[in-house]
Amino acid sequence: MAPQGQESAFSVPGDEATDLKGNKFALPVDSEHKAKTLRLYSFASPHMLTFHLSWISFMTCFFSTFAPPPLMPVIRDNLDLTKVDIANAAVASVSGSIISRLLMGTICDLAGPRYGCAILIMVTAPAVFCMPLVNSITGFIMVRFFISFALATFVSCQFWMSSMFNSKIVGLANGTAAGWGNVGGGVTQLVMPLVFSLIQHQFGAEYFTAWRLAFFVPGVMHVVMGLLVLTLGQDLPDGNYAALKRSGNKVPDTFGKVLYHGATNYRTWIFTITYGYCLGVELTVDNIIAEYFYDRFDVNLSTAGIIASTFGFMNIFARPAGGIISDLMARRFGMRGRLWALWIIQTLGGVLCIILGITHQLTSSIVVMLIFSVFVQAACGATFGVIPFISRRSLGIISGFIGAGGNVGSILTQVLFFSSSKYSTETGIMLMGVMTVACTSVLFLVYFPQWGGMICPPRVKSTEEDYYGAEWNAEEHAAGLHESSLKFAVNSRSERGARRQSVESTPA
Amino acid sequence: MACCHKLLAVTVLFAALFQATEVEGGVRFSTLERNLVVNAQIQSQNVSSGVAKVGVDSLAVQWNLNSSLEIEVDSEYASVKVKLCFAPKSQIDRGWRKTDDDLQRDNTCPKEIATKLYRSEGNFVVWRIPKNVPGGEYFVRAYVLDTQAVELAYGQNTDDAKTTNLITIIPITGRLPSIDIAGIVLSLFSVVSLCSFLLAETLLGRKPAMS
Repeated sequence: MAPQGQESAFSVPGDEATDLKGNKFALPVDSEHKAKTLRLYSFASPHMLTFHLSWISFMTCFFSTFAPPPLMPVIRDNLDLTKVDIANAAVASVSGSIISRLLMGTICDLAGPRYGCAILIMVTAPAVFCMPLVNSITGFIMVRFFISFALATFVSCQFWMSSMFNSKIVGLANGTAAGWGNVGGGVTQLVMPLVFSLIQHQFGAEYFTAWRLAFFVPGVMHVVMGLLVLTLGQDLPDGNYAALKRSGNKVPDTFGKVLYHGATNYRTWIFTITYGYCLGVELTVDNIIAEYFYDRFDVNLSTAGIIASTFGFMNIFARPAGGIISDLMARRFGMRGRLWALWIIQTLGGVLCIILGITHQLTSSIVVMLIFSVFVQAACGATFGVIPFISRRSLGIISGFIGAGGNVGSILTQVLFFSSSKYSTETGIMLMGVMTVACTSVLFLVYFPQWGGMICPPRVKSTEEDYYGAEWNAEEHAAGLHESSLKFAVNSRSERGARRQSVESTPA
Repeated sequence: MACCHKLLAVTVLFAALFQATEVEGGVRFSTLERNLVVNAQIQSQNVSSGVAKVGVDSLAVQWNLNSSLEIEVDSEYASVKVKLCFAPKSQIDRGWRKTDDDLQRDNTCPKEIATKLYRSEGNFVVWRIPKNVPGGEYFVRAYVLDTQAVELAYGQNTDDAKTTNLITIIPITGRLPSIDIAGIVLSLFSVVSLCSFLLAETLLGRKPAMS
């Protein structure tokens, strides 16, 4: 066995792998130095430290984006807002991230996820600090719009997890990081009213001043997390982008081709629609639920915040659970199992949303909301169980489109059902459930020739290599640019399910 | 799948059961008689402005029993609660301020001005408008309560359509110069420290990379 720190030609990869400085990795790693396990209690550099930095910064951005809603009863009186004004601001709060999520994938590719995350979080900090200065609806809408750019840390978070964790557990790492990040939407509902109450009563600030002071909490969190990411974070297991020499494994691709293959794959658009009705519904509920409980059931601000926060907190286990269920279904039934699992979970989420809208009593409303939150958030996790398989070449851009689709779904539901006095909030919630059930049914149209769809079985003799190879034209095939896609195709045979694993396929 | 169906059925059953419980309503406003005469004026240093500033100006409210009524109508009257209420203009498109005939669900009158024992005349109160009152158009209403605090009658300083004698209240912004300064300083800190970091790493990165 080679002495520690010295590499020999026969050293076993994994246990004795070292980073560029010769230090042993704390976790077992694969040949790319990506971790093979996820140890949640560890903060070991680089893998677990990155995991924690990543989900905490994403959580901070969710915290600040949804900080106004629990304080809305105070803000709407201070700024003299109408229901339309509040709805417009809520739409603005999920609009900015459409643009930023689409751009963040490219930024991560070029500058690395560490810079992407840190730059975004520190550049949106001034927007958070502008909230205490807001005097009118125009200012309020603009500030909420600019703060919402921060939600693109979702993309850097997922990108970073995919760089640090082996593909066998990347789903779990991504789902846990995304789920725990989304918890920010719950934490803020709990913390902001408490901070407001503390400032008002302990420090004797005026009612209309205390909510402004409360916003320094998310602002300072942005700055602190940005500095931590810059000082402690690392792009790849071996170091930062700028310090590493890029190895020859990364195939240079053109943005135009990647965009074309992503946009022309009809599955991208189907999942954009369905994600709009799981993440979109989650974002909408984050915006309206505290005010709903405050106004409808006459509870005080802190109580409404506590109730509303439980919705976001379910993300701790619900979103990872969705990913795990998707993986378990895939083991037995392959991709068809993943699609059915997603359809069932999301449709049940829609049904529970309808029930929430027609529940008139406080206790039962809370119970229904909790069950509803589990299903909606599990649907988000289950969606990202399918997305890695839609395309290999255009994975980044497709994730960006679908992520942005979540925001578009939220905008649509808020504009249709929550922006005018035509519908009461409870009717709006019920109609949102109806629309969820209707839009989720487009999943029946998804068909993978090599694995089948929800109704139709796979085409005979269709292989994974055909599907992923089709993204490259003949010239690119000849140049061997499609090699990594073929590697992925072989790995993706697990999506055939237990029964068809033994079917042979011609090797690349 | 079967367990999902069961869970759904149980959830629907629970929801239906709880809906069956009705909350008892309060007194209906339409059943109350307008037996009090209420007057309200703004007491302001700037007399000609016609508007009231929170924290600075006050409202002077007087109320008495309508003298043209029968003598015994106030036999059960125990106390009077005087409230500041939103005029219709300040309720438009603001469902959280909606008027409901059921007084337990009515949100028209958010602020209490005073609660006094009932006397048929000679009632007067001066109320400094607190700083947490939102801006808008208001009127003053006084509810007469019996010994069980149930509403029996009312009076208000405006007509039934709530269009006359309205009081305009100017709120505070809640902003302070110190908050503005702190916000600007912290924003600058964020941007400057980010740029310094990026610059420092770019300059330090010009050293040869480790192999």
